[in-house]
Amino acid sequence: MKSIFTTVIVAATLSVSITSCIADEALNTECDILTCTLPEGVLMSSPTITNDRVTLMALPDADISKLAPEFTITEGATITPASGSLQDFLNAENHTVVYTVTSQDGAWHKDYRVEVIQRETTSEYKFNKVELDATKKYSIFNEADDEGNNLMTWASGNPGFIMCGMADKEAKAAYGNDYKSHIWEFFPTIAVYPEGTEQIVDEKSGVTYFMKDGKYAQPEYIRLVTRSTGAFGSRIKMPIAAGNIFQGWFDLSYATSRPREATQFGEPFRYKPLSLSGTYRFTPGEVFTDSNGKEVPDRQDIFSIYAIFFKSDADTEFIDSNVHYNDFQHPNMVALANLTDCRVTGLGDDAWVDFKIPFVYYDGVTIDYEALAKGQYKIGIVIASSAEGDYFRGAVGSTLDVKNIRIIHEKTEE
Amino acid sequence: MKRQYILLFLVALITASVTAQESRTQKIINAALRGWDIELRCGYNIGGTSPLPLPAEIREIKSFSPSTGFTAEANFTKRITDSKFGILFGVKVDNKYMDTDARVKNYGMEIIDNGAKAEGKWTGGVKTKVRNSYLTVPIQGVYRVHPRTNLKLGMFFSYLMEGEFSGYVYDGYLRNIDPTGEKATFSGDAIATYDFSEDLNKFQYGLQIGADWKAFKHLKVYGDLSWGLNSVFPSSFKTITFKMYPIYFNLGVGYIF
Repeated sequence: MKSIFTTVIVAATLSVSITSCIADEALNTECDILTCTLPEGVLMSSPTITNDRVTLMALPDADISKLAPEFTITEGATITPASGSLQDFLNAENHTVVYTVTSQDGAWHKDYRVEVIQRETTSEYKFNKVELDATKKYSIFNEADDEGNNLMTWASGNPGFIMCGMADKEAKAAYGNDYKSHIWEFFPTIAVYPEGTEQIVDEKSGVTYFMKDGKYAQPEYIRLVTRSTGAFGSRIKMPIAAGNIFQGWFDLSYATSRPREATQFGEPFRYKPLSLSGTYRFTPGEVFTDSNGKEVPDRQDIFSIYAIFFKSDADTEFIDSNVHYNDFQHPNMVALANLTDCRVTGLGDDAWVDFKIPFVYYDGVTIDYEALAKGQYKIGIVIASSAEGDYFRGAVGSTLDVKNIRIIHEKTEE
Repeated sequence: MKRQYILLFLVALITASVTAQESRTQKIINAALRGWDIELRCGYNIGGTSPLPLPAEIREIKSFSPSTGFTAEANFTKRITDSKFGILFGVKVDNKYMDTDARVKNYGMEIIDNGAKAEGKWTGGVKTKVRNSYLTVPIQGVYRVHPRTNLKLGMFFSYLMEGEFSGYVYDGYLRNIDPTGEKATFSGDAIATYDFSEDLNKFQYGLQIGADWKAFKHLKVYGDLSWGLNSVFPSSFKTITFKMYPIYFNLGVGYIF
């Protein structure tokens, strides 16, 4: 009798204990560069690390022909060339050395382009070297000099939008089976190119660029569109993605938990800025929705364009978009250029509006010209198709086109 | 809906026990059901809906609760004359519940909704809530090992009346498509909810083994282990890459006429 109960209880315990039996941990599959360090006196600001690029902004007098960047990578992964090995970035093509990181299990690898930028800061923004990310889905905007060397890379929320899968869906609906080369068109931040622009894969680096007549294509304008993030987006309470482009970097690790901190503004700028100018046209989407995706009747969406100028220090290398909602108050802020006269113009050929807004300097701040020359001051131009997009409030379909973006500074005035 | 079924069975059970006091009625029933045993049961499902064995992606089960999955059942056993053997048929309202909190590494997930596919590898916390209510038909062979004790072995067939398989992921990160993809970190209050209730299989079958013991003339205690042989999700469902089987131990008491 008792033994029957014992059997039954053993069977029950067995079924529970099977479910609590944890298999051995598999080897790591990731292959990330986590940090990159160089000795003091080489860099203007901390390295920017994205999923497959490391950008190093070097000081004007640093010797970039002998740099030995040190990397930390995913546990168990390997990197070649080795971390800490001496590299000549000066004579490398595009001042770029490609490092390959291979995962602990050996099955996955990523090629990182580690690029040193040591050139005159640009102040006329052309978005003239546009590439696609490694998955060939979204646009990454670079500024290049006449030789095609990178001067800076713009940040956007595009890397976050890739997660929701909406661009693939829209591309399929519009182009059918031939959709893959059109996925980029359905991201929030894109460029519009002249006819004859093609996607060309650079043989050496494997990077896809938008090219025209053998050169990097010069876009006609940048187009920012507020888009729906679909079911995935609403599940993580981010129902829309505004088109945005800004100087700084997009920190995807904050994108879901603290979205206002994901957009980190700041690019070294070695002149005192006087004004921000450009050309835009804008049309709002039809239905304005709140952060829960609920319609807000009678509310019209509007875009935003502003530029912050601040002095960076060890604690504040970047300023995030919370500054926008704190009335642009931040202890490191020096000056602000904010377009307050944002108009709905429509998207007609003659709808373009020129703007020129002055940098208003904060009371009591003085420019430390020595620090300015070292790149310790930073500028952050921020453009978005829905002004409150970082609170996920806006209208799907709001479209802002911009071009001729320019900072006029003391040197350009002379 | 589920609760109504349970209530109905409870009422039936109580009514049966009250009416059974009247021995005259008892005799009539006995006569009508010569060679049949009728039993009303009320019990509790303890177990889980789980992959077997646990895949390497699951690193830790932080918490597990079978929750309150009640069962109510009526079954009929036809005794084979002059033999210890019999055959049992039953009808059972079968609530298979579970709540888990697990930590996973590199767990493949895919959310397809209205043509948009969000696909990636998740590393971090996963909370799962299962509330499946089945109408189950057990068919078992019965062997009387002792005048008061039966052993049973057979199959069960279940129809899903109402199902929920939902939860959320938290405190971790999602890599787009594969381990080299963009990495989106979820921390603090950031979660992504999921709900695969609509994807659940409508039919479930498996093995059922059990025993009961007649404690009093009309009262039995019993235990049944039901082991699902098909996954709770159809093979066309790719979000969860492994098969999930319902494995539950059903404990309770029965009233025999």
